[in-house]
Amino acid sequence: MTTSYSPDGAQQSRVRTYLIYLVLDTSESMRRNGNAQAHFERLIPVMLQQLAAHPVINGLAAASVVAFNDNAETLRPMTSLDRAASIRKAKEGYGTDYAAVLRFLAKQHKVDVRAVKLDRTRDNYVVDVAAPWIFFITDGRPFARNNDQELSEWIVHRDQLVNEPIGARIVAIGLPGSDRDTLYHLATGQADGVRNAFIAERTNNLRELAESVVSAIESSIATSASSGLLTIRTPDGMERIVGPRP
Amino acid sequence: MTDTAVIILVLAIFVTILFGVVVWAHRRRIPVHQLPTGQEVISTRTRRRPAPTAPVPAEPTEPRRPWAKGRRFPVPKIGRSRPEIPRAMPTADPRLTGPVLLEAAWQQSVYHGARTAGRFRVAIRVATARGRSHAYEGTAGQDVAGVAWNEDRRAVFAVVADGLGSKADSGQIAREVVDQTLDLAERLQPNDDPTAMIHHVVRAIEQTAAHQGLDGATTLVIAEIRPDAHGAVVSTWGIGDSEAWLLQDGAWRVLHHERRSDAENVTRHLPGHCDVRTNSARVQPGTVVTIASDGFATALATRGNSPVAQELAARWRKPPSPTDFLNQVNFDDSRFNDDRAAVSVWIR
Repeated sequence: MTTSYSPDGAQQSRVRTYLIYLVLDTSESMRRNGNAQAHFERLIPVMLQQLAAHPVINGLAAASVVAFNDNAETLRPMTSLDRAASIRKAKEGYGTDYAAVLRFLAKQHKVDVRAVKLDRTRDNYVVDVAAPWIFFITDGRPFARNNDQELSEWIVHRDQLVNEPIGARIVAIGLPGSDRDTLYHLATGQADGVRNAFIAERTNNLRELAESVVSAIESSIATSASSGLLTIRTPDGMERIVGPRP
Repeated sequence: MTDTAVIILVLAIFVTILFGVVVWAHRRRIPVHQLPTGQEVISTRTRRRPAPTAPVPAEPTEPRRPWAKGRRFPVPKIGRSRPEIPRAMPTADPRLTGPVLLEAAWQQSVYHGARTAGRFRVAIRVATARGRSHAYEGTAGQDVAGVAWNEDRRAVFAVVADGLGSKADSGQIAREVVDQTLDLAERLQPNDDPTAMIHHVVRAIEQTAAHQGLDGATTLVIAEIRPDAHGAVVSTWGIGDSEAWLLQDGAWRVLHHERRSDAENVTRHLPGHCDVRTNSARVQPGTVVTIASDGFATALATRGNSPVAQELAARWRKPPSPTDFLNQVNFDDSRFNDDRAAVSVWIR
């Protein structure tokens, strides 16, 4: 605590705001075997509308939707929850380029922080932007340019995102087909080693699974924005990944 | 006929004639309209008579102090200006005797009191309010505030604890901390060290949490306001992000804060931390000492450009009424959703 103590912090009154990224894998596999992508494309706007109606957090948090396959793209720009913003359709792609999307998020975060500060500054309050929360939904192993992406290729970008000064918190949610170790390495968590990495149990209805994932994310955003600490319950039909395989 | 009778007769005739002239002059003239046979009669009046004008009371000659002894509320000036709602009558502050503890669990609470010791006079306000976050979720608020008078030290002790929202039993822990602190503070001897008392509280709450299996934590800020030859000495002790402030000559000065350079909602707390940060200041009469949880205190600032800080600096030149104080602590701003707890002491 003392390392982050700011002796001059009392010079100005402060308000805190939160940035939330919903990152959706839109690789080719997400459109096969039940079309998980379609379920999430239907459910995410509904979730954002419900959060917009939350009288406490709708003014505290801003949310962005990012899609990735061979490249990353912003579907909904970082916008306050109490403000409507359209979510455009994701471009079709084939790969699952983790390095590209993690690099994209680190770059985009700087832009979003500036925009949110400008948007919220009023009445002489200093706007403190908390470390971003990233909900990462994927169904596959990292794969780019017709090759599996090694851990070393993308973990450096993940570390850049989760280390200071960005300090992102990542919740990794793996749909059927995803890799446990990849999810665990991607997620962040507590100092005791418990991470916010979840993977689907084998026998699941994909529509119900998508609904439970979106419900858990919505609940997490509502709870976390109130307390200021990212917490998430295990979505129904999923299990928390305890650790990487030895 | 005597002369007297003649005079009476003449006077009677004169009065009769005068009465007749007056009656003639004020006779009611009823307009008569000639109408053709069969035409419907709607009204025989050419116009309505104006309503009698209400008597206008004279301008009040006395100042508008309805609470002053022997005076009544002024009558609103009907027909000339909007009736004014009488302002709330100030209530005399009762003498602070035993410890007072308020919590923001389910309702808003306010206490007002005063204490005098020779030339040392203080007015005290304590307020707690459940934040919008807890209210919307239907959960209990977790802030607690209290105040106690120590007769031996002739000092006021103010205490605020802010239970951490991430733990279920934090409200109970905060209550225990304030309760134990007030109990010890009230019995502290003149030469006792309050820092040792706080260390005792920290150890006691660690044991309480462990024995009862409580999952909770709280911040803590304490202020002692003790008279000296020129005014008072204000000493503060703090663990975590609850804050202590002075308001002097319209300017805010911070005595305890732990605001971070990043925006993380992380703070020191007890049980868990035992390193108490202390500060003190010698202040003059006219100073207001405020300790508060971050739900209120983060709206304050030393640079004077915070709207809430500016507003309160203007309003707190004198102790506000208890309900005004509660409303001011519980100011309405959608960006401030946390529980509120504050103790303010006006050194007179």
